Amino acid sequence: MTERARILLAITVYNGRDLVLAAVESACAIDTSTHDVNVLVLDDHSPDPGWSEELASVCAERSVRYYCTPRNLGIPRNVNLGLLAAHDGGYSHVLIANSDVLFPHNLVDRLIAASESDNSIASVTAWSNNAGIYSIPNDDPVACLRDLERVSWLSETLRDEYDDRTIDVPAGISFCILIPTWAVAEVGLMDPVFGRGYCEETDWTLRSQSLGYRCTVALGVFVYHAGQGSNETAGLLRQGATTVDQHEAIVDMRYPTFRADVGAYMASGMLDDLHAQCCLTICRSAAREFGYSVEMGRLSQSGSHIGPTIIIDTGDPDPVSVRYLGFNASLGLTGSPDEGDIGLLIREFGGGPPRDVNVLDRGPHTQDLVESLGGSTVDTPIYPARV
Amino acid sequence: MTHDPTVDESLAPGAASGHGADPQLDRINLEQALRDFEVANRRVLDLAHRLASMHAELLQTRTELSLTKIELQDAQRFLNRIRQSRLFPLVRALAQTRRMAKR
Repeated sequence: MTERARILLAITVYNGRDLVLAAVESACAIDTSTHDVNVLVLDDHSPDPGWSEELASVCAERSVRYYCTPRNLGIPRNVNLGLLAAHDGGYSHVLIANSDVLFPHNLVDRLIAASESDNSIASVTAWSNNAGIYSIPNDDPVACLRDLERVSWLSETLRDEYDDRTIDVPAGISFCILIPTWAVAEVGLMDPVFGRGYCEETDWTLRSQSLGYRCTVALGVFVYHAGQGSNETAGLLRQGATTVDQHEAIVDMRYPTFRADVGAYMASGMLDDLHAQCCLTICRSAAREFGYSVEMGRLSQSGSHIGPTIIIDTGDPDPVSVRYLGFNASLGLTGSPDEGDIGLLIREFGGGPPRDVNVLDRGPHTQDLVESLGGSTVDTPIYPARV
Repeated sequence: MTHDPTVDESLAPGAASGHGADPQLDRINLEQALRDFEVANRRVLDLAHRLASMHAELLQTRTELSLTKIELQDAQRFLNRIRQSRLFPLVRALAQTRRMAKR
């Protein structure tokens, strides 16, 4: 890439006082050393009293362009405003995003690198904790991931592993999707038939595929997404629902093979493998960068592990797993003697000895393993030492 | 009391009455709204034509179904008359005998 790309980051807003300000803050913190980014907040006539004025003032303080539509448009038409503003304003790309997200610092750099890796790519979506099938499984994203620096670290870690690699996916999700403006001109806008929203981006990406363009996920970028809370409150979704049935029916009618294609894609197991790989990469990087603890015992402790922790559960057929920030991964060891010294393998994984080894209960090989791991040992029996 | 046509009563309560002053976005918004309106209008016309055509097809299909039901009832009545005739057991026995003889 020799030229600087010009990106319009259009954040669509409808109420969401609790989440939008953090999203705008994170948008302002995006690294612009390689590309130019202008942020546009598109307030879809939020009805929450005083909220639009507050948001306008926050945007003015941060020199962020703000626009409140004179009437409520619904998500597809509000997104269209962003697409058209980018096309009309001579931008090279438009990044459409929800307002309940946290953007990592490397967002634009990575999405542009992915987009420009092949000129038939019409859309690039990011990994997330809450983006349908493009979610890396996490036990407690709100507690563990709702923090800009953590999100940026995760994204940077995935960049180190995957760089500008992309995978083709059945459809995009507009919680955070990068579209080159040439694709807007070629494919068109979101279809207003999807009313207040949901499925419009599926329709758009399927239309782009029917024209021969690719719909992708960039593996080297991660965006935190809180989810559908505000849409439930606004009555856009039924309580507990994740989509709008009437809109799915339109997609089914227009693309009769879509569901089967998604089923086949999921059945291939490629995404599951990638999810597991991402979790392992994240945990390994954290262990090497921040140090790690080891917990040993048949009765492993429950609860969240904020720091990188390797769990050796001798009672499990897959006894060595690693946890960090709600991500879980297996080291793929069975504990068989053929695998060699487990302690050594764990040290190689963590890039050195553990900070501490927490022995929850002792078994026949505990002492050998503790010695092989090195690090300071603490015995923390999870039952009283004396009856 | 007269109605003030400049007051848009459809605005949601609490919403900002003014909006971000941005002539470029105002223009784009208005142009696109007019296009969306045209598209929506064309879709309504198209759907109305298709609805009318589907309605005609539905009526035609219903008529055909009714006629077919009448024909079926006639055929069933005719079959019942045959089964209830005095000759029917004899003909059935003959047919059975012929089948056995062929084996």
